[in-house]
Amino acid sequence: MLKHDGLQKVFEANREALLRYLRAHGAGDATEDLLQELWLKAAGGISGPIASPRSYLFRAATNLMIDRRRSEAQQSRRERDWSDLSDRLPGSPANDPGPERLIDGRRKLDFVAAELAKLPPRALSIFREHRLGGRTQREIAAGLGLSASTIESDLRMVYRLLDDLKRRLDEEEPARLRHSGQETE
Amino acid sequence: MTESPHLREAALDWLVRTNDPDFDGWDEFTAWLEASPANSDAYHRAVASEAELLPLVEAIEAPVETPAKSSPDRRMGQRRLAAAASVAIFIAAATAVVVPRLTPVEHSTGPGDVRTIALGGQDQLVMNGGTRLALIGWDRRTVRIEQGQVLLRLRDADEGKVEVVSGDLHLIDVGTVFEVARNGTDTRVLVSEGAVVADPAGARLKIAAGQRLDTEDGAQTLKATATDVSSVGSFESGQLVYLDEPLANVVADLRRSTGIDFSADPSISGRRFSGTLSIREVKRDPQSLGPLLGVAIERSTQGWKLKGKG
Repeated sequence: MLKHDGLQKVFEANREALLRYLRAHGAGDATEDLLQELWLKAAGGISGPIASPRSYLFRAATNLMIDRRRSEAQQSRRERDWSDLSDRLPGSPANDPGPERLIDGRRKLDFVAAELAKLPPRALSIFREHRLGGRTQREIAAGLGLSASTIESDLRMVYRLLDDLKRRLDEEEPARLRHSGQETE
Repeated sequence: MTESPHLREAALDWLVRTNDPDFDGWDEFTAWLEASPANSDAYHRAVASEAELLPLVEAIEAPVETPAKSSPDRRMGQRRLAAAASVAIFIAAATAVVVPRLTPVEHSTGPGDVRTIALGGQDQLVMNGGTRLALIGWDRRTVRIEQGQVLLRLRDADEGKVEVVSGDLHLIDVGTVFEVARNGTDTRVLVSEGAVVADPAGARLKIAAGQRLDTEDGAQTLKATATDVSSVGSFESGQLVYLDEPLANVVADLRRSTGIDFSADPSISGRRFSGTLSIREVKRDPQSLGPLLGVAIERSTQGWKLKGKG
């Protein structure tokens, strides 16, 4: 199909740049395989004309690396959790998921909601428009009559808060595990 | 975790830039990532933080006034249910109040018929052949599609919004031209002008001009994708235009438009087709479809069956 031919040309022309890009994301020895996977995904995912094929390919490469790094992180977390668990005796209080053991979904949601409420409302609504509504920064800037740099700094503020919250949530879990571990001694 | 504040700010800057659909500074970004493996670690850390918390941001209603009371997953389920329930209540309440006006008005077209229905003002609804629908609600601007394909041309700003219901999917127009096709429990929405909001009470997915949504009843997530929209409403002009369309959809469209019972062997229904089909030509000579679609075609007891070339 014509479309695929067009995309394939752009892919071939950017082969080296894409390899460099994947490597820069930490693809390592898997770089060549990932480039192959990238092509299959990019070619298979088309359902219409693409405005900017080069950006489309780099975007697909970014998503591929995000998925890959996420599954690597999950893998190492599973291994760590497993060794934490197997350190403990069966039936010990540490294996009982008591009410304060882990942050449950509801507390987490309440916590995040309370923190988000501290943000300037404009920053949060720009973030929602952008990340949930899929509007570009340029569209939002035009719609609100704001400069591009204002949009950027509002977005950065929300990303920073989300990263802070994630770190705080991550810190709470091991702290609780350690705490209950001491009790069993 | 041990990265410097400076590195984290740089990573957040890149996240802001690369998450913009318009971003095209890939070479510059590559150079930054290449400068140190710590850079890509910091970037992916920020990406993971956002990815993990975004569903929570989504679950919390804007503006953030009252923190939500249930876990995110349950909450999503409740919202989806809430969407269906509120419509049911609306219909029930309306029926009780003004019964005579509110009986749904049902329309159906035979195979191969195309009919235009006025929705008030200059707003039009065009039904393709083989379509059944009901106009409901107090102003009859809610269109419930049972089966088939419709084109909506909504240009009248003075009239209220039009809502389309296809199975459990609700769509609200935002001044627009769009097409909805329902086949069994699958729904396809193509937007050529303006925009449509899908699942307005829950996901609030905006389908903009140049995008499509393919979903089925009971689907938990909705995702719009880019598409070629020259085909929107093409059934009205006697042409069917496709770009990379699954053959199963093409066959369903042909059945509606020609009134001929075409079917596709499951082994080929996932294949994709790009091109233009003339409804008149296909009616005149069904076998001409074979070479056009690149499949074998043979007469079955009811109509015509498309198969892979043996």
